[in-house]
Amino acid sequence: MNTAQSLIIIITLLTSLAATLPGIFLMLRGVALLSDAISHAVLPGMVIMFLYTNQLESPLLIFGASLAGLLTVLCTERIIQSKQLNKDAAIGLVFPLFFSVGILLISLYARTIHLDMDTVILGEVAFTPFNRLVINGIDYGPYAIWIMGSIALLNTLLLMLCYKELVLTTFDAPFARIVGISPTSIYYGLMLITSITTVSALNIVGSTVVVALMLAPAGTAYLLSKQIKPLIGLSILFGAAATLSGYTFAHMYNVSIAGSIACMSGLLFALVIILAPNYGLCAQLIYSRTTMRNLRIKIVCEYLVKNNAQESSTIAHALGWQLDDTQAILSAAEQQKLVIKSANYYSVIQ
Amino acid sequence: MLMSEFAVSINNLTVAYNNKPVLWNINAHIPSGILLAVAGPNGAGKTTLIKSILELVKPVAGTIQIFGSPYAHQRNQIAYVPQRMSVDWQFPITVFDAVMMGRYGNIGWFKRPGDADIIAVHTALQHVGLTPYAQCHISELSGGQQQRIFLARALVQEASIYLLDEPFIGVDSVTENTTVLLLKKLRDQGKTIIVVHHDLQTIRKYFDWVLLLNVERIAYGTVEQVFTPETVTAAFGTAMQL
Amino acid sequence: MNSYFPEFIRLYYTSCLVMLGTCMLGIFSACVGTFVLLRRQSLLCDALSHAALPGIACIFLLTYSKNPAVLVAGGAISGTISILLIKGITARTPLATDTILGIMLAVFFGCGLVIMTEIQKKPISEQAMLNKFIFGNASTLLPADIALIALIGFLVISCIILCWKEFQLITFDAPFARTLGYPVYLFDIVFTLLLILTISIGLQTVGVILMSSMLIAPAAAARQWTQQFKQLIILAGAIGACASMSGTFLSSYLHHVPTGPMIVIVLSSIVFFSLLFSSRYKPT
Repeated sequence: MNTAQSLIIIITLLTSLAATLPGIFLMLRGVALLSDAISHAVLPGMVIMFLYTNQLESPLLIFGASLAGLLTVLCTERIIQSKQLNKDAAIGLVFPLFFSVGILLISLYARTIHLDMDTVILGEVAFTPFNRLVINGIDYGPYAIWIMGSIALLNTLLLMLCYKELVLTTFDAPFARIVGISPTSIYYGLMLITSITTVSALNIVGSTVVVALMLAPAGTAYLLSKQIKPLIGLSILFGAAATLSGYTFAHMYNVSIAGSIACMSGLLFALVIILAPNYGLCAQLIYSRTTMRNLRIKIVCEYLVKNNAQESSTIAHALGWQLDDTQAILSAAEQQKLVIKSANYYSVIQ
Repeated sequence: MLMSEFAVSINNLTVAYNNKPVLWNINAHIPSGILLAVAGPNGAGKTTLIKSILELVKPVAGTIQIFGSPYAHQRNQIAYVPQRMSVDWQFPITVFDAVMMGRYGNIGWFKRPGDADIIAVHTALQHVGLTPYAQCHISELSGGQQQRIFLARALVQEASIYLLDEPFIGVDSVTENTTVLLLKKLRDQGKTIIVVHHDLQTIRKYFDWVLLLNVERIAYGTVEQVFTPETVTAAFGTAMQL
Repeated sequence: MNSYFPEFIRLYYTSCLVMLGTCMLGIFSACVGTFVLLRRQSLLCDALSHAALPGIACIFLLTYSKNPAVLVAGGAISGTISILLIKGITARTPLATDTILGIMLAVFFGCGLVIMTEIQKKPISEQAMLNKFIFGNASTLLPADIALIALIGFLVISCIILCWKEFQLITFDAPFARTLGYPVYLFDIVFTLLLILTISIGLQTVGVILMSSMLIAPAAAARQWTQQFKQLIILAGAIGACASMSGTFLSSYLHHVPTGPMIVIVLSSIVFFSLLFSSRYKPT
């Protein structure tokens, strides 16, 4: 593996970490799709700052984008409060406007310069190692590592510092208010972090894949544990796994790195849905069948207690079951020594 | 009595959500021409019982007959009045159109309402006292008036059995009195009225029969015979003042 | 003069055709969108739009066909797969619906990206065509596309008119509809299929990201002016038609701007104007 490849892996892992952390709380608060809305809505803020500074690397871009993100959430909340539209319609209307304005500005004023629509949507991970941070002639390494590294560090620090407040306002906002924590501040703080993370990741993985990194690892982890600390740990793990496997796949088949990461996060999600011990499909199938059968046995026994000895056809008719199903349940009950059969009549063993 | 002489026959009914029983081995034969209250604590399975009769939920075991036949053959004999909060009252229709929906079963697919349907709707609106509001939008009405819209919608179906789910929650006293009078009038015409009711204090005043539920059948029969402090305590688990 | 005249006719004919196409699309997507808004499925639309992308890319990779019906079929197939997955996962896991929608949206879109980069490696220059599904480019609409739009539009509008009262009833009170004997489940399937078809055919005009706005914005605006169902859907259709046509016109006038964003800007302006200046819901 050469240096460029290791750098790409480091950059994408940092992006994954930075994105997963706010994503967990967006999911727990039931506003998961705001991540998609914000990832698209930051565009005009970014473009306006780009036109002002003429530099793609300026930190003002992050500032402008964050403002745009916050403004989107504010507008959406305002519309919901006015009751003129419901929640999902409000979200589905505000961000497309912001995004369209952004695309309009790019098309009119920024077409010939680096800021390109394709990059915005699709990202361009492969080029990130070559875009270096050079100050006074000294090469400090890829610009992306500095940016994503700082954001990942910022998000981790904020999580550790505000852990109690985040958790409390997520699960019991009225109580938080009583003890003096403002749920509104935490909420808008989370939105601000989401905006900052999204805009930084735009150049790397593009708007939509950022959403995959925010939601898929958290959703996958939620199927395994609802406790916060394991949830965070597992999310980070799944994010890293998706990133590494995505990069490997993209490298092997020479396809989009960002897209592969999104696909792999989806694949991991699918795997866990099928195999998870509590909520997984396999577990549900096994558990459900056994429990349902036991329930039906109980029902038959209760019926026989009230109605003494009965033939299987009478039992089937009374309970509204098919005859062969009834006979299967009766055999199982016999095996469990709950019911005894003499002539053609079944009765309960006292 | 033959099964077909009962309006609703519930036999060995067990319903489960996520493999956990919410109704267990319910047996009840409900005759015509009575006003029956279905009462019990929260989670007792009252709404589930109504939904089982309407085949909106599928039971694990048991059968229900309507006048001796399966529900599918007797669908037009039953009118359903759901809980008020089950719809979006911001939906853009008028009171008249909302009540007309009750006639769709008679009108059939692809056709438009006819004169008979329009007359039926106006008559029903008169019975519930909503005639001046016919062209208003449903969002403009109060909670009690909205409940009466549902009642009118049930009336136009010209059914023999009425199933109401908590019709008296959050309604004004005018609505409550109008509704009770209307239900008693229907009962006197020989209809069967089954009401999921939340207020124990008014059962004696409004109803003839009562079914006390708490997953299982605690008591069933006429109010004089079975609605006693003992049965109520058995259903609710605490001593209640009646 | 002779050499200019046919050119003028050709240009005029092409823009008329494009206008006609976007107008029709605007009308029937607004009609479908009215039901989407009332059923509170706006975000589902967003997920379905993104989910159509891998289907379109995949079928192109397999067939190299530029036939719009083929591409729309591809989009419809992956859209259907995504809705089945969404419904299945919602029913069987404790995850909230919007989390599942977000994951589906991003993962399917990512798949689309992977397939698109695979296409880009082929010695053909059609990736620009696929780009138009992400951003929208109405000016590339061909007569075949317009014909397909007309066909799907006709199908959608006739379904709605034919089963007008049934759609209205089921949207308002589905359990009550079931007690009257209506096959609500079947209706849900039919409606979702109509929605997926509308999204698939609309993607090339507005693009994946903005399609949900094209569907619900006309109805959202119309709702601020009327509470009558029939008026609502007609007004929404009118708004959809005007916005689509003006957006398309502005986009070609400004040359470099894709159609999708322009249509959405016009639509959103109408919506926000309606929110601010209509007399309904004003706090007393």
